[in-house]
Amino acid sequence: MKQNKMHESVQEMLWMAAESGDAEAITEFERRYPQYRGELARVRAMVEAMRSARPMRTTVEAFRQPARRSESVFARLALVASVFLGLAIVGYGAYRITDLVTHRDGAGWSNTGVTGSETPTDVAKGSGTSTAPPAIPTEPEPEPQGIAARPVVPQTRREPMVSLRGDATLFQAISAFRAAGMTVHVDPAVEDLSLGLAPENPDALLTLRPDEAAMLLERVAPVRVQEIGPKEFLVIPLEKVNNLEAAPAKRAEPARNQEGAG
Amino acid sequence: MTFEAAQIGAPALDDDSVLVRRFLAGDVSAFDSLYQRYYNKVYALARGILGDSDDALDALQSTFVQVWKNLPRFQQRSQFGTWLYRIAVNTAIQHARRTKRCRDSEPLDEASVGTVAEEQQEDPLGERVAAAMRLLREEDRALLSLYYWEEQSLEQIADVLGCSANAAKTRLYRARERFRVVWNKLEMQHETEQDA
Repeated sequence: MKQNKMHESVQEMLWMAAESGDAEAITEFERRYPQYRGELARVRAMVEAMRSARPMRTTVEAFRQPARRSESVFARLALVASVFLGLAIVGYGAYRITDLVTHRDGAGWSNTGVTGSETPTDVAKGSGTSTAPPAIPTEPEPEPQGIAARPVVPQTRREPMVSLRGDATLFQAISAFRAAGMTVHVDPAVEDLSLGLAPENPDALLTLRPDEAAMLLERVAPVRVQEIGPKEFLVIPLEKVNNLEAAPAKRAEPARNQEGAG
Repeated sequence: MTFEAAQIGAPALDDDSVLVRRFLAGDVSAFDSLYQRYYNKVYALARGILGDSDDALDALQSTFVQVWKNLPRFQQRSQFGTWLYRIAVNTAIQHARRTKRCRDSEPLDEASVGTVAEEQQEDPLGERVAAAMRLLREEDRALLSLYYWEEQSLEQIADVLGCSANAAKTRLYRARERFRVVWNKLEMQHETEQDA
């Protein structure tokens, strides 16, 4: 009961006397507060017990050193990792951009009605609005099912040209076609004749594209030069062409007559 | 501090700050010197907080591993010893809470009872102090260990605990009073057992 009623200042003095171990302070406290003599003795014993109970170890265990990590090594690793990461980002970005551009071009063709069997050349001829590269007469290749059409890479290969001399005849002109790599089928009824391109200057050389040369031949000779395939032409006399065109009209006349008779 | 160093006011080669600088410069033996110097101090502190010698040794190793790793970041605003005690107190309190959780979930086996009995036989007074300490909170144990065993001043305790000196004084006073109450109870029990 006395402990509970002890004033805080007295308690503080008790602790100071007990912890200091000073004989004068203890005597003074006991003189002033004789009723707390027993409590002072208990606290002194407790403080002594507490101080003497300090744990000690006679042997010092060895320190287990952690693996020392060098910061410079970490810095280097971080640098290498960031370089790899950067390269990966750049590579992926380039891939994505290329992929995006490729698919955008593909979408443009499909908007203009390109089918799997058509080439950008066909689109350019048909609509005139395609962004496809310049037309090159190539064999249309069938596209595999389910694979998007890819743009045709523009070819820089030179176009074959047909060279005609100023005094060339029709047969010489056909030979010039063949010399330029064309396949030319000539009807047996075709007869040779002078084309009269530049009789006053027989050494002059006229170099034309095959389609232009074909048009020129049709203008200066009584022949039809028909392009029947890539690098393939058919030369037939004009009179034969006229007969072929006139024949269906003649066959149609009896039919009309029969309808009239009925 | 050597006589020459004291004369010119320079720190001796074995001062804590010098040992810290030597370690930071790559001298591993300087850390060994610090370890030897503070081994028993950190052990006593950890033992007071944890109440078990094996746990105290674990906490001691963890404390010095923390010091090893964090010494390059030590700003030397406070004394090395104060900084070390701060790490030791935090490590031991964390360890105490962790092991308390583990032990609460484990049944008391014969082996652990035997260990307590052996300690009691070794130093009965010390075990009674330890038993009284175990009935206190970890923070109170840390305060009493720093004050009575490591003889730290109120300012140093305040620095370790990260509070003001007045707050440290109040906390120490309360911890001391709680210890007194527990101690008196245990002493009465002890006297009753002896009489019986």
